[in-house]
Amino acid sequence: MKTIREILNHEWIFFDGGSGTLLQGMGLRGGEQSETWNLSHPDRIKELYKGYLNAGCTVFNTNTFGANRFHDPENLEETVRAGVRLAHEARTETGRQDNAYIALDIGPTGKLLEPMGDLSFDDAVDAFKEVIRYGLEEHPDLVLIETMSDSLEAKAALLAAKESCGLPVFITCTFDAKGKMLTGGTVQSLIPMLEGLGADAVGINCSLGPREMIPIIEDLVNIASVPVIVNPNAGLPETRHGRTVYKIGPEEFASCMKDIALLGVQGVGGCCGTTPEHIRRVIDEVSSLPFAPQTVKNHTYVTSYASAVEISQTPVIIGERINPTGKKKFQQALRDRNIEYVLSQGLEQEDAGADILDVNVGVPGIDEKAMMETVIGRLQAVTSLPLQIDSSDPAVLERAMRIYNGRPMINSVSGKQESMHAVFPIAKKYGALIVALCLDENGIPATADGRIAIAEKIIHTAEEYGIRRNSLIIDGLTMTISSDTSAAKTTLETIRRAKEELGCQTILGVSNVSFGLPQRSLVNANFLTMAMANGLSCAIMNPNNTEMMAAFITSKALLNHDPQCQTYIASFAGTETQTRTLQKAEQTVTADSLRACVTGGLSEQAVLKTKQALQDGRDPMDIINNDLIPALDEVGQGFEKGTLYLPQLLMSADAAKAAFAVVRESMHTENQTSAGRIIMATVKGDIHDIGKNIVKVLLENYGYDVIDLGKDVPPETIVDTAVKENIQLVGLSALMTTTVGAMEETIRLMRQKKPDTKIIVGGAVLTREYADQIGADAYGKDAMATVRYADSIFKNK
Amino acid sequence: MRRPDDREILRYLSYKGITGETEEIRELIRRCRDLLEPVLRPRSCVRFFDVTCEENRLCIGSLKTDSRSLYRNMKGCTQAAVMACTLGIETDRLIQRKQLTSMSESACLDAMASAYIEAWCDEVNERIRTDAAKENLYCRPRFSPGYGDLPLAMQKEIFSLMPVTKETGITLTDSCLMIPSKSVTAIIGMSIENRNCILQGCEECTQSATCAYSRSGENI
Repeated sequence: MKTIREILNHEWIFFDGGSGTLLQGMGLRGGEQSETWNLSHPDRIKELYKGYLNAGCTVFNTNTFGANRFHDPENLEETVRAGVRLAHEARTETGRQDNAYIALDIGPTGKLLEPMGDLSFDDAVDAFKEVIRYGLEEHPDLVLIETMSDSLEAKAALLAAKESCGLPVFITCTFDAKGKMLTGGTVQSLIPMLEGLGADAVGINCSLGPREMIPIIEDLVNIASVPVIVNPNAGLPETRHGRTVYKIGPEEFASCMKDIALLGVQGVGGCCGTTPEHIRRVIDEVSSLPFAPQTVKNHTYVTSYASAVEISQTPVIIGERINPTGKKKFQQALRDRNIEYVLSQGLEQEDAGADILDVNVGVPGIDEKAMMETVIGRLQAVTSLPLQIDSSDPAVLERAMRIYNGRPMINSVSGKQESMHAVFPIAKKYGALIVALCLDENGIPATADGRIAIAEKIIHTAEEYGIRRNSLIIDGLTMTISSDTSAAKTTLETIRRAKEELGCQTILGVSNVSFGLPQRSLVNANFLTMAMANGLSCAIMNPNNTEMMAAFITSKALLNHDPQCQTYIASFAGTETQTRTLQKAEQTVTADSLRACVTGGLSEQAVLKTKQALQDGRDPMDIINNDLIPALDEVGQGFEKGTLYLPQLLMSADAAKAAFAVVRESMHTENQTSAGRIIMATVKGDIHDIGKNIVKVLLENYGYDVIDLGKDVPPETIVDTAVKENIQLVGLSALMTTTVGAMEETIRLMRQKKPDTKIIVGGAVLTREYADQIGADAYGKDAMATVRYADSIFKNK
Repeated sequence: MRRPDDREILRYLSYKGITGETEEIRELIRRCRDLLEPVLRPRSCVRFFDVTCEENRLCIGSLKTDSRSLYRNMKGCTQAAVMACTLGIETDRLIQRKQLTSMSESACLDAMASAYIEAWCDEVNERIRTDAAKENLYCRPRFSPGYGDLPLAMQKEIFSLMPVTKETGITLTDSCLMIPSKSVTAIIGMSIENRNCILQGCEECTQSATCAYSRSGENI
């Protein structure tokens, strides 16, 4: 008997079809979980298997799709084991022991992973491992993960399978007609990640009929280097007399699958609505077609959960600002766990045109691994830009690679043996791209020859780990010309030769070139232009720097990387007019008072006006006490009286926040006094935190320091923090009736452990009566109520 | 999907029945619409079930409930449509992202998305009504877990009754909250008798007296 690995990519593999409709025909009721039949109706499950075995399929799935700890907590082990055991029996009874393969079928958990959902990545991996462990006891031939609609869950399942066994692992995902997974992933964002993690075959199943899948299949065969599997539904589901039906019959289905087979796929079968007859016809049609194996591709993608950046001829920008090196404010933000500040640095760079964000959170005195995990999770909730993980600690890299949603990039490895042996195993396991620095134990070579020799050594060593050269991005090392005026020339020659002679993509941290010189932007912008002309693929730089961005966009146009100069024109057409408008806006500001800007919610003008007031020599505290606070009070009262909308209150709050930021910049740290420290948290089980965040912004504007514990926060965390930090006031929010219980529990625990702390509660389902009932000290009926209550607590002292 | 009108968005923005809106608010709404509409991924999952009664318990397919409010709503129904609708997770991402840069836009987007999910539910509901009419069945107002005495825990039953997660991407947290947050599940009773029922969600809901978003007085 050939193993499944021996036939994979050498001949057609035929997969089985749907099971739901067939089992319903045998008596399965709607809402009844089909896996329970492995124990209660084993004969019928064998009947299902035999239908497909007799139809001639090569791979058939165990009836374990929905079996996991979330759906089927009781009898899980027995259910899974029976599913595989029955498959062996059916295979023997149909005489197919020599040419049919049992796939342990793994479906999604039905839960959404963090940061958007409430299932942690580690728990998801554990849940999949549990099912796989039970299945392996009965010796399947391969693992088939299918119907995955979220890339992070797909990653968790694939890692679980790879870490549990040496069997081949196939994975197929669902896409809609627009080519998107339910959580936004595309073929380009998903497949490089799955291949990097070691999937033995990838593909698409369910959700669509064969015809709707064709554009997605074309993408798949263009991107994938491993065999591609296509298992469509029998058309799109339709409702007939209250029943869901799939309309494409066996003959039509087989004809569609013949067309699909010719697109260059290696495995075909069916999903919902298909029957053994569908599969038999597919096998009849496709068996005789010429088989074309999948070919290995040479592209280089770095991806996130929903987007992919190809590193190739067209240069890309890697934003460098998420990095504490030399930045006091950033370092302080990390120490204070001010994650919002870190995130806002990322969003600013995205808005300015970054394609990828470098993430470095290494600063003495913090747990870098935990911080990296938090920042990656929070960043991936709000931006789809791929991330470049920047750390010198392999343990930090390992954790980051594991939880990252997409195909990550590592910054960096060097030619030092220690570095390569620490980084390559991690990069191989998680399929990361790696920035390779041309330096080693002997330091940085002064010549391009020396640097290219190190690059070759790195490429050679990477190959020993099974890492291909298209996963390496060569860093030619930018050195400052102020200490060696030939430095830039050496760097440029290195990247040119890395691209031409080694066939590798290249990267530079551009701004180092000007260290120690005046007008650094001038040097940086010109060097960037030269580097791009010499084949630079990735520029690590600050996209907020106007001169460098102008050089980048202009060079792209000059080097034929900007079709019809579209980006150039969009960026610079009408610039002169814009400048004039800006000047006009500044003039308008002088007519309005700062107070009016804040009450009117005009953020930009409030900032300009504040800067002007400071320039005019006004005392920062005077600005706060006589302009900003009165403006906030005015709007707050309007809101409380019901003459203003919530968004008007918040527009003023945004404007005040921007103005405060300017004022604080100008003040010495010792002069910045806090009105009081307050914990804010959305309670355990609740994930709706917009209300809490609104209150936080308002409190901060009134000078309070808010310790934001986030959402879904356990009572113990809130109470322990209050004890540790000696907090006088805690604000709790809950949106749903189901989570008010957690609020009550938090209050009870606080009364036991820290009885002097006051607690104010708020949220859509709460009322004053409810608040009293659960023992809160105050009820925050709207956004301003917490500010007023905080004032009553802190100002009366 | 159809656009909800500005009045609906204003209703979600206003806690206290303010009627006049300023040019700044209109501009904010325009800006937020431009941000929200490109990320909307409206999806739905609808299935039909027989309705029976076992010892005063309502049975919708394999789903059983003691809810008196739903029982009242569905009295005389022989069938029910169960629907799940969502705007997709990208809407949540956008609202979260804006919380970092502009709380006013974030709050406006949140309110706006609530109006859009209601409009999407109306559209799916209307399709169900049209299909039912072809079979000479009349639809009752849709009824969601959390209305009246129908507990939120009922979500679990609905999710095992039909492939909600697979077809829409809606998932449940351990505490029965739906993610994406702009998601709705509902049961729509169908009967052969044309009971012209004008009661909508708010009016039938026991929380309406205290709910900040209640449509009180508008429709009755």
